[in-house]
Amino acid sequence: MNRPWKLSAFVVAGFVATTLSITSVSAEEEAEDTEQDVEETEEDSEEADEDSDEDSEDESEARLFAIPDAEEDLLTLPRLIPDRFTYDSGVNIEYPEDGVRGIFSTAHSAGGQKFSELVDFVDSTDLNAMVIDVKDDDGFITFETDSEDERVQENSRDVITDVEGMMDTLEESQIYPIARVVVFKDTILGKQEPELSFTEGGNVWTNPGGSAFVNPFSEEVWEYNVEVARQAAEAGFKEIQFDYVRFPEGFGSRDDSLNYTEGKYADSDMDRYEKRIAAVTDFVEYAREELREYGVKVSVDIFGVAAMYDEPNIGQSFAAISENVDVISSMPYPSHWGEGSLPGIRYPDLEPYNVMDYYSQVENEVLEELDNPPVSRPWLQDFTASYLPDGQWTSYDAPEIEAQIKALYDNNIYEFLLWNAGNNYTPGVDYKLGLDIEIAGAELMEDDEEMPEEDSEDESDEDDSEDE
Amino acid sequence: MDFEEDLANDSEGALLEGTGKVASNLSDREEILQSLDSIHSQINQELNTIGQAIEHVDAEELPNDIEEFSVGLSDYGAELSQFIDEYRHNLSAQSEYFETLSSEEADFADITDGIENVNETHRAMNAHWYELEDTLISMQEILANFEMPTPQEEGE
Repeated sequence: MNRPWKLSAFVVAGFVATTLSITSVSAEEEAEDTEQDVEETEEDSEEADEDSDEDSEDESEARLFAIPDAEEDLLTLPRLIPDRFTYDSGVNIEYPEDGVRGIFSTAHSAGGQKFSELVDFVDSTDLNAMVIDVKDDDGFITFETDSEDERVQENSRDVITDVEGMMDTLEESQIYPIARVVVFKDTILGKQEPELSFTEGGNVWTNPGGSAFVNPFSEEVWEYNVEVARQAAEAGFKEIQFDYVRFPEGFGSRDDSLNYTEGKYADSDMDRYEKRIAAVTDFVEYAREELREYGVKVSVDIFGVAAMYDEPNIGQSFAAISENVDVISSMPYPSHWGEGSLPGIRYPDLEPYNVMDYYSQVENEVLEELDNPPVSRPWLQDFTASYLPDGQWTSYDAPEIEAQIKALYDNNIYEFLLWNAGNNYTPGVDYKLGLDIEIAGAELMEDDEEMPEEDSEDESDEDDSEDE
Repeated sequence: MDFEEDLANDSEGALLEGTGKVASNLSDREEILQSLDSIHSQINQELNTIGQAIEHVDAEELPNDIEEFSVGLSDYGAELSQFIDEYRHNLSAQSEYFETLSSEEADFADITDGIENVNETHRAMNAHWYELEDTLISMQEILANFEMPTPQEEGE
């Protein structure tokens, strides 16, 4: 009597479906699935059984084991690294449980007499965070660091003379410290090393405001800025907020006349716009990875309009940047929108609630599409845009600030930052609007706050400029 | 992700005491190795059967390439055994790595270096397994139509 020898006899029942991957479903779950499949098959018609058998046979012939792609990593670095593995600056300030509500401080304010005033202001309100310039709009690093990087050493200024003392004060009040690092707007470095910048006729190009930019295609520039961020983390900052993560405004209309390198992107098949977006996005990704061992969060400031459509001329894609940060801070200041640029809103500065409400809805839609959406923490306007034409601006006082905040809360956004270039913040603002906000469980507003009445006659002489 | 979750729950013994999903996965893969051990044992049994057939059955009644196949199956068994040993060694190393992360001295570099090692080994082992699996599938196809009398029946 002859018997057929089939090696399939070697394959142990249930073995085929098991996986060798940590990141895949467990063998137990697979086994349950297999059992369920078997039961379903038994209940099916004979024809279906045959189909199922054929499918199963085909699959079995293709692969005996359900293991992932040979090139696929078994482990990836977790997005959240427990503190005990990361750098310990010795500064113990926790992320605010109910979300960050912060103000901006220049280095001069933080290093001067104004600092105690700002700390008192935060302490006396429902605010809990402070964004402090570590690399300012000119490119200066605002305190002396221990960095061995020659560029960092050369461009550091002793503006914040006692960083440790500043951190002690912030720690005592548990004010969450965020380091603002202006990245590609860098007049100092650009003029020191024109090859890292954009030149025109042999000179470093500057914008109408006299500011030079360094080149986002340059990985040397990336490394320099990340080194600055490292120094901030070592000083005790808990978050690095990158600003001016983009090409100069209007770059699209002058890029042909400027000299600059495209670095590693030069030979790419991408078009010029895609290259810019790739460079800016890659910088953010690079920075985040490099900073992971410091345990700091990474955030980026971005134009509000970028949430509505990509800004290829300056290399900003809201979605792409958002995928690579912990926090995204857009700047949808009501005063920055043009007349009639938002649906149903003629003069945006006069309608802080409606502007922020509309913007929040747009941003939420974009973020909902992402696999790992960051926390949204928009900048709010705490300044009066009196430079706008008369009749198109209003004084920004407590009602206007609260209107913006209410719009955020109405759209389930519970973090925000207040921008005032002179660091003079409006007193008497109810930042929580009387709500007990839980960032995770976000209680919705119980009572509608009365909308502030717009008062175009209440003008102010204050003429704030802002970061962007 | 399981690894992230276990790192976060390390204080509850997820990594050191093996109560987490990573440990569960290691256990699952040990079970796979035990199944591979079983396959290896069956290959040895079949080799023994083939050896007896060659010894006791008239050569004309055996497939022409029986001896060649026997050598190939033997080589395959040896290679599979080596793979199992190597994989088991790596599994043990991975287990030690995860336990190391429970140490108070463990730092960020330990995490990243370990991940790099695990992934490098994993890619190499996966590539090796695909080769073994392809061979296994080829043998299965050959044996699907490979028939011969059993030695016992021939003896009767």
